[in-house]
Amino acid sequence: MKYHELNTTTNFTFLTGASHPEELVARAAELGYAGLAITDECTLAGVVRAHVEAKKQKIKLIIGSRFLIDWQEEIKLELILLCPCREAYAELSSLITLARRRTDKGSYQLKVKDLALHISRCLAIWLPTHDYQLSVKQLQPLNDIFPERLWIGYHRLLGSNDYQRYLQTLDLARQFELPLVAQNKILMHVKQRLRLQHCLTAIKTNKTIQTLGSELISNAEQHLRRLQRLQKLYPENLLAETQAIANRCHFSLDELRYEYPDEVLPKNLSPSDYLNQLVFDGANKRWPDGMNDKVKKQIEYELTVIKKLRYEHYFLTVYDIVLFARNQKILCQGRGSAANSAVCYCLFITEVDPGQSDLLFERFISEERDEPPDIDVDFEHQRREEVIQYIYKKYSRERAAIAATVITYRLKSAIRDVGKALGIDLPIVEYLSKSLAWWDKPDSLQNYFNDMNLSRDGLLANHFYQLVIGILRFPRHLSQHVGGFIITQRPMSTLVPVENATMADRTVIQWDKYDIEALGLLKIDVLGLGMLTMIRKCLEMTASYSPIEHLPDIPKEDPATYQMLCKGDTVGVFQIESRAQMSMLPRLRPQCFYDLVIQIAIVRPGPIQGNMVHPYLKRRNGEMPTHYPNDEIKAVLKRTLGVPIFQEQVIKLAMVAAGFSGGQADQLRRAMASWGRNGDLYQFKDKLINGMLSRGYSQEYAERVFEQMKGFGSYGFPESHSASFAILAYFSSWLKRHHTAAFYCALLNSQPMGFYTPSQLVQDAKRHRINILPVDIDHSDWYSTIEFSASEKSIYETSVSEKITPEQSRPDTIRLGMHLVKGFNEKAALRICAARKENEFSNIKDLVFRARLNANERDALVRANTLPRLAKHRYQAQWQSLGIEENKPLLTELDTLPQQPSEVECSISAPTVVDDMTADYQTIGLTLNAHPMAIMRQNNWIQVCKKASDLRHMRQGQFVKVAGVVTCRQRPGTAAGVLFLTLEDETGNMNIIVWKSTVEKFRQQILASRLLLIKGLIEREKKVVHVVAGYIEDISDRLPEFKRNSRDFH
Amino acid sequence: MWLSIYLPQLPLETLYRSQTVFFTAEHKHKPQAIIENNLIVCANSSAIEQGVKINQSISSAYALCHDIIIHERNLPQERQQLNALALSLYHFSPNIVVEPKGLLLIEIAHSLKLYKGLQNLIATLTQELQQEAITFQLAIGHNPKSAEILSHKDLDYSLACWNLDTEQIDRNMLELKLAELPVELMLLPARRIQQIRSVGIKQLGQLKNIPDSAIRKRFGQQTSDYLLQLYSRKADPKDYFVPPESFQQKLEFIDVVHHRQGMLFPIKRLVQMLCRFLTVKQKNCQCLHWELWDTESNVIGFDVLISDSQISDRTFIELTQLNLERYTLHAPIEAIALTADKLTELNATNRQLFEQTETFKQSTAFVNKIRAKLGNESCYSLAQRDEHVPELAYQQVTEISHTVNGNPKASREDQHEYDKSGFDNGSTTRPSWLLETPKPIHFNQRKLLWQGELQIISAQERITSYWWKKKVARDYFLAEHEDGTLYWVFYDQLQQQWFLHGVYS
Repeated sequence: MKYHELNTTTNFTFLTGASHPEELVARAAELGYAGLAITDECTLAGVVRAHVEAKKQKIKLIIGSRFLIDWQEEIKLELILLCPCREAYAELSSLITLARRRTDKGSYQLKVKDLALHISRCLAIWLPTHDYQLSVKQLQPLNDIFPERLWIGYHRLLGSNDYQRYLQTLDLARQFELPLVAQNKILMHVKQRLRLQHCLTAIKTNKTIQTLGSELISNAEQHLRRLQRLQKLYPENLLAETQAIANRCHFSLDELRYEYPDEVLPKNLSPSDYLNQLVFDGANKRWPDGMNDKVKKQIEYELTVIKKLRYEHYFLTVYDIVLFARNQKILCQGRGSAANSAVCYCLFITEVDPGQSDLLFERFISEERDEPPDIDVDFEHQRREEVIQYIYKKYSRERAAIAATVITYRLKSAIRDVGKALGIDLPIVEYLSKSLAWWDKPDSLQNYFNDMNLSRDGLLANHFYQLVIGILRFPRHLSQHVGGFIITQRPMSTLVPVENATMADRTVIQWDKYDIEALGLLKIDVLGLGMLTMIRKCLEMTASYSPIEHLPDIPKEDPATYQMLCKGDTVGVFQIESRAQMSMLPRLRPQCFYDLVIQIAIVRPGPIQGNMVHPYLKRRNGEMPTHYPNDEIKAVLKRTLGVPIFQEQVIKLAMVAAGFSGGQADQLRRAMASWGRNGDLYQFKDKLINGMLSRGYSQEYAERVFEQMKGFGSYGFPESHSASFAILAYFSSWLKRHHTAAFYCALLNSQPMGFYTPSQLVQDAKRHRINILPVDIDHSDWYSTIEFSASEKSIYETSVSEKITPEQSRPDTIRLGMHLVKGFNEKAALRICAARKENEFSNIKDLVFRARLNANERDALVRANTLPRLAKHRYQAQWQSLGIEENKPLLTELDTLPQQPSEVECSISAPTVVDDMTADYQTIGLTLNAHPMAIMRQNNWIQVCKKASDLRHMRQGQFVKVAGVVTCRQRPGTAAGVLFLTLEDETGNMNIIVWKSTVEKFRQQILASRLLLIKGLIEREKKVVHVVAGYIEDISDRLPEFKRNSRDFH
Repeated sequence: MWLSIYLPQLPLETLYRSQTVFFTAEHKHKPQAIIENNLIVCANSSAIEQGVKINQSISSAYALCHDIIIHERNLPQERQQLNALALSLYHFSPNIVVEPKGLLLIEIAHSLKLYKGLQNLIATLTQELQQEAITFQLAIGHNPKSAEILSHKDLDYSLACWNLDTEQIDRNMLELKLAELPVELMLLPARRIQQIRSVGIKQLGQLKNIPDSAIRKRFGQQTSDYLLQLYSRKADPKDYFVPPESFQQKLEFIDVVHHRQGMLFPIKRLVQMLCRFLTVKQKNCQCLHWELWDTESNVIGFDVLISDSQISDRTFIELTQLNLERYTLHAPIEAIALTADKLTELNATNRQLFEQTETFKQSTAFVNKIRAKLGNESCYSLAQRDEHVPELAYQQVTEISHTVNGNPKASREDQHEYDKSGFDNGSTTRPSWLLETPKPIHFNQRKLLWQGELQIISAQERITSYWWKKKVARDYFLAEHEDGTLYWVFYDQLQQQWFLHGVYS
């Protein structure tokens, strides 16, 4: 018997189906089903996964969907639509789009007349209602809509009235002369998923399992049952009818051929000719003096591959978007594997010069892999929306959409939802989700349940654990991908259903990037990057007083810039500003661009876990000889001194040393990326090691290479990616070195971004002798601005830089903008600027009325102490401001004269230094007055401690006592329980290392403090100084009102 | 002249007294905290020692103290606890104010004489509060607001204002003491406090020097009123506590009680509290509802019906003891509760047993009396519940004794749920008479035997459910007995055994 299951709900009908699509397909194949239809409710989100699995299992897959159609109040008409052909698929996809777009995210609405209007090819299986009369009424219109294409579905799930229902259904079939077909309302691939299905129902209805009663399914029969069992339950003709339906369905997702949009192509030009033309035009601009042979060969090779694989449209589409951004002066840059392509460089999509690097085009496009290339482009984060709107406008919303991201259950959300479903008290669920230690040891969960008197017979803890494991990776809802666009020639909805996203006016398709990749469709990633915003803003400033207007104006390989980097002076610089990067810089001492590429890639968990850092540094410093087993290996590893640092090197190593083919090596790369999630990598272990042994490498060397690959995991950087980032790292470093005020000012204006808070940036700027002026309504704009002053020059205005840029005056002052004032807004700031142009404000009332400030805006400005001319101090300003009665604008005329302060006002005492400091932090997040530590030192509120600036001169192993504001707590997973603290005082930052045993001892002090006093020993390597903590004291109570958030990473 | 009682640990202590979580002394010593809106509002000393603070987030609390036990705040229960305390302090003064979130205010000007001075009054009060095993802070003040704000300080702080010679509060001293208090202690919205602090005002004394009009203009009417009331320049009317309409009290034992005799003392104590309550209210009751909790979370509930119209602690205790003798204690008792909620006027006339009017028959009084005659266990009604497992789908519903499965509220709520859902699963195949426990039946040589032969005459109905408590996996069938009776039988897949479960009429 050939049986096809025609009613299958996967877990992509969220919180209903209890099995993954892949599980259902694989199980159906295992049981000998001839095929199955995936019929999730009004969605095609799970079909691609099923399709991939069905191809693997060689089982027939029918694409369909199930709908609950509005009929009467409360009662719905239940119908399954199946796709016999491509046109029917387009109908179904459009119908789902229609139903989904009508309502809010997550729901849909469909009427019978929609079927009549939009469906002419799909096959339909109608599922009867309990009420015979109602069934008759429902069937009447359907019979007209689906001539010769309608079946009545019957299911036998061992309910209490299966037989009566059968008789009723049989009667309906006779009356309407319709065929009956068996289906089993599948929700699970095996019956063991019943508990999970019950649990999902509880989560969906927001009730506990115990209170659901008959809302739960009554048994586990909605799983894929054995064929023998089905034969016993159903008359033979009902089972055979499934085959009749399946015979009519010959559509496969493989038929979805991607058709590129035409807009990008001029008339009378073939895509290939047009691309060639653009690439060589670009090449002439990139190499005005002519390109060398190597580059020319590379470009020609790439163009041949692109033509062969017919990817021209894709490059032209990306080119068009990038061109738009450039025309709008939006900075952008391609990242990822695209930077391996000379074509992308010529099209100005990427910036990595193929003439200077050894790039691996196969990492980007390979004939062997036959997968579409993936070009990710970063745009300025504050202007990315303009690019998105351009795409929508150019291709219309019908043809451009953003890919979905499937949000799945992670450990914490699983614990919360399962806990709630099982009726476990909320605080206990919260506790469990916060303290995941029990996860490694299920016994500890049992003990906890015992302690809380929760598990009378041990059942609950066991269920809880099993269900949490079961629900992990189950999809919960579709969300919007960060920027993955898919653009089509025909309306998008005929390819994949489109639904509303949470964000207004946004739609997403029902497939995520893996689905798109699996079907071989092309997508473009439009991503946002804060550093590009910062660089553009900085260039706008430098253009106002210097010849530096565009990125190409920035000189390359500037020694002064590298000199700065070697000191680890990189606060605010792209990618190399973290504490770990800063500590590495003085050790690695970058001298050229390629050193930066390595610097970025080496401070990553991959190389660190793979023990690659120390060998590299030692070889670089000449402390260890570099030895290559042979020339082949040397060719691969020479540029990184024999240590594999980039993903590409690992791939090539597998090819060169173990004889992997290009395709196999790429599979290895993918396995490396998913390492940790599954054991894919181990399947390559034997092949790799045997391959290396047979080529004469030692067992030890082979094992080491494998260990390095393991360490790489998904953390390893591809070289092309690192190179793209290194470009931005260099540009930002150069700007910091030569246009310091503009650099910090642009950073402040691009927040939130990067690793440091405005407070840390301002302090760092001050240390670079930049004057910082406070926010002042008489002078500040919305954004911070640069100013010139006659005071001394920036610290780096020394002889070195003067060689590069002509002697000229540079701004050395930053006036903080009103954007820093918490609770204030840009429109109000613009009103202030306009009003003060007419006349300066005579008093606070004048300010409030002329700039039309509401109570919140006024309060924000006054509390931030931004009116120094109008009031003696912030308390007086606040007193005046609170006295202003709203809604009395008529008085404006009378209030243009300076007010005489009242008696009470005069009696208000000025804030203390501490009051001012704490209020500054609360209102603008930073202070320009005394640093908290300086105040404490002046008042002798702490013992005598060394300052951050003193540490530079201290010896290895010397005892030290330091104190500071906690700005960062970091406990990387790779560091075996070690905690890194950053303390800040008035002279700079201090890096503290707390070993695991000390962390345990001083847990409370570390976690709950804002100010810490630490005694410890100096640990230094060259210019990198750390303090290893031995004793930790929380001194937060010495400045009780001082609050500042630390950035904590666990 | 007012005295305030501030109960800083009320949220936790209320929990200790509640029956929902079982607390041993050992449990109480573990770090614990109460949360409201995801912030810590109350923590015990072991939690505080580990760095847990008020207004901290749950995650910070867990980070500091990984084994902390956190409970949701139960405001209604706190309120009940405060009311109970107010009732027990009713003899100090009839003018008691119950403020939300752990504060009682007592007007004591008139009680000073009765207790022969403030010192004595405070000593007596302290003694009584200590018996209640609650954490408290006392303060005195010349009006409710001052007593309330001063209760955040030690008692000595406000006692310093008490002039022993004149036996009155020294106003000047009081003002000095108030002036030193931080503005955060004023019961005003956080936003207002922040506003006041934003002009540099940190202590009450600074506020006092500012004219009222300026305060009202800047900090609003509420702040102005607060200050005027604090300094007695404006009336501060209070709603006095009125003893509740019904009596409900529970006692929990630090040491469990192992035998009936041991129950006498707590029964006496509760009855005395009841009698005091009834006297205050000038009411009598017809029924005492008792509940006893044992260490295995079983509940014994019984009613003592009172026909006497007099308030007599002796009669109440005697009747209770008689009733209690009918029960066997299976485990040590750890708590006892008394509820009296059907109160009558003290002078109400007694009614005849079995009045013959229809309204009386339908009234609960009728049912009560029938029950008193036949015993509580013999009377119940049936209700249908929305469950797949047949024996769970029918449930005995009791009327007076509110105890089902150890949860006193279950029956009423379930009934309510059922009423709402209007449940009908259309299971016409279900028999009208379900056996209390399914009876095993023999299966021999492919025949089902139960007092004769049974013939399966239907398709199976499979029920697989209830796994979270006790898994059920059964196939139900309709079976015809050789005598023509229809039975409902099932095959238990777990026990691999046939059972008879119901009979069709």
